Amino acid sequence: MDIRKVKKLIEMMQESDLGEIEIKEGEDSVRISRASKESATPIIASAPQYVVSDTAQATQASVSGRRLAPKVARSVVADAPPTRPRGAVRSSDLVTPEHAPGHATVTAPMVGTFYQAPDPDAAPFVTKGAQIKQGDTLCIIESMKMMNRITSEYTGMLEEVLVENASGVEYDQPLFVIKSAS
Amino acid sequence: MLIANRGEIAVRLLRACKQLGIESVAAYTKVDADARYLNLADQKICIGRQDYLNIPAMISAAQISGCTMIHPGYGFLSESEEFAEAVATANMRFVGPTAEHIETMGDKAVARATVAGLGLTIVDGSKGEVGAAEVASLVDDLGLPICIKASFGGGGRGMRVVHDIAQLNLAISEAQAEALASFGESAFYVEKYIPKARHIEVQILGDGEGNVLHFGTRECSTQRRFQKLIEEAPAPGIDADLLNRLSEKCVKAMSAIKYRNAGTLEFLYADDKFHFIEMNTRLQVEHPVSELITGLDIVEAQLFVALNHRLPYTQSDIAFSGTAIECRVNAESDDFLPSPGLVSSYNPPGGPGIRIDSHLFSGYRVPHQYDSLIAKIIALGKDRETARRRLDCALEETVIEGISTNRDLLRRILASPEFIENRMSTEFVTEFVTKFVTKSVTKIAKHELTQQQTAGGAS
Repeated sequence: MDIRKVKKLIEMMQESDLGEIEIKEGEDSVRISRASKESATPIIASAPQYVVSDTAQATQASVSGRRLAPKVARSVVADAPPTRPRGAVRSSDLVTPEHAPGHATVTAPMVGTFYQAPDPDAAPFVTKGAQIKQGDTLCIIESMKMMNRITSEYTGMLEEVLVENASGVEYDQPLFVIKSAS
Repeated sequence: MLIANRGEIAVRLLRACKQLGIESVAAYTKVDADARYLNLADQKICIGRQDYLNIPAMISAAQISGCTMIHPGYGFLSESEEFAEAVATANMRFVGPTAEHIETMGDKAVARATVAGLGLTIVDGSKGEVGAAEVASLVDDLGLPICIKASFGGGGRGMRVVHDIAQLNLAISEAQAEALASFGESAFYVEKYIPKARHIEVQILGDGEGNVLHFGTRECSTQRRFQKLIEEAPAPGIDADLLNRLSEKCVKAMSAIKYRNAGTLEFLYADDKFHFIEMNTRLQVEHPVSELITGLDIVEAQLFVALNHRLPYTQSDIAFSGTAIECRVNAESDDFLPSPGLVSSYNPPGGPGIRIDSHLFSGYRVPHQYDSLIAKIIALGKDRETARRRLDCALEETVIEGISTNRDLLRRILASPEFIENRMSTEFVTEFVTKFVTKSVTKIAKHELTQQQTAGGAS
């Protein structure tokens, strides 16, 4: 479809009260709709459980060539509390970057050093593109030689790892973006 | 250096870092995320939602930001031996004493026994901690009134004065509950309560090798429920030789235990005698008054000792001149209820001899999670009366709008004959505010009545 035609359609729509137009021309079709405020509301605000139909095991995604965490003491592995306890979310916590609907941000529940893998020679717990289930381990945050396992509260696809391996993270710093598969 | 504290003392420490060329990292919580002083730090690290007592978070913050030193300020982790030890284990310098000295001097029951063996007189009382059952027999020996004190108390919490034997058990359980809630320990000891005493303290600095300096005395009798409101240096109206002998005794005692860091030994002064009550093994809120009369920087000296394990100067380099008075401006109402909220307007005072230590700014929201100290206004004068007048003018100039403060109470105290004539005791403020508060309550009652009448007329 000619881009000028699309532009013309947009102008027409702006002049009208139309919320949405869909035009078909042979095999081409275009749908233009005004973004409504509702659809832009970040779902993370209410921290719902994302449930996707695909319950297959998280694929052990291809390991990148990089060798990860430096040698760390693994003797103590504490189970960290869930990254975002349900019902404990207050408006003041919601400083995580806003994402499109269906995206949730996992933030650091403590200050410490972020590790993607259980030890330097191991594969990362998760990599970009992996399917994540609620309860899956996402990373470890080391605080005073204590290895705190951080688990996912969400189910979906890991869209983004926001932090470099072995770097310092502060409390509430965004670590991962998970996209709901719905 | 990591600054493991908040509010005005974080500002004080950040200033010291800037002036001395030390890179600073400010640890902060989500509650304090909007505090403007965080911009003075080279780095800032969020350590949690609201908790400044989280040792692993503090250590982690220091480690990930590459700190080699931690300054705990006052309160929070400043007198935690566990923290001092964790800092040492993480191969960083703790700007404070050894964990061992925090333990021996920070546990007040133990500190009494320690200094008693070092030539200082202690207030009569129990030998160390006691159980609730033993208190009654102690009362027989000491006589009433007595004071129940939590071994790990502070800031007035975990303390109860008992005037009447019928109140004894209630006082014990209240003191224990308070201490348990605030400090996680409920152990207590008993002291004879000395009424109408003055609170006098000595500022010292030790290098950990047995060399100790003193920065003279401070008077902090203007307190309410063991919370200091106005402090001054030197202690007025006491023979200079007597004060000097007290300071020297403190130096000798701290030298004997090879104390390291700044520290304060607190005494009650009654009947021309000083009775040791406790020691603070940290920087104190009121340290500026000693700085002003000596022209020295106690934080700088503290850092020098932490880095070099020796003193920055000798006793003969410390000269005293004039009087300095500090008052603590708290975010609280006339009836001492906390008054957090938005400071819509703030305009600090100025002029000769005025120093302000504060984290306030217009638009700052005073959080309800922390204590109510929002500014220290300190005045230096060639004599006590000059300092007092300067301080009163400074308080008058101070604008803090949007929240209630104790400014008017502070001005009334400064203008009272008791303060001017130096007839203070630790009970003065309580007696003084009884009149003051009664007056304001009457005013409120009248105001409400007027409103009701207006409302009635309208309907």
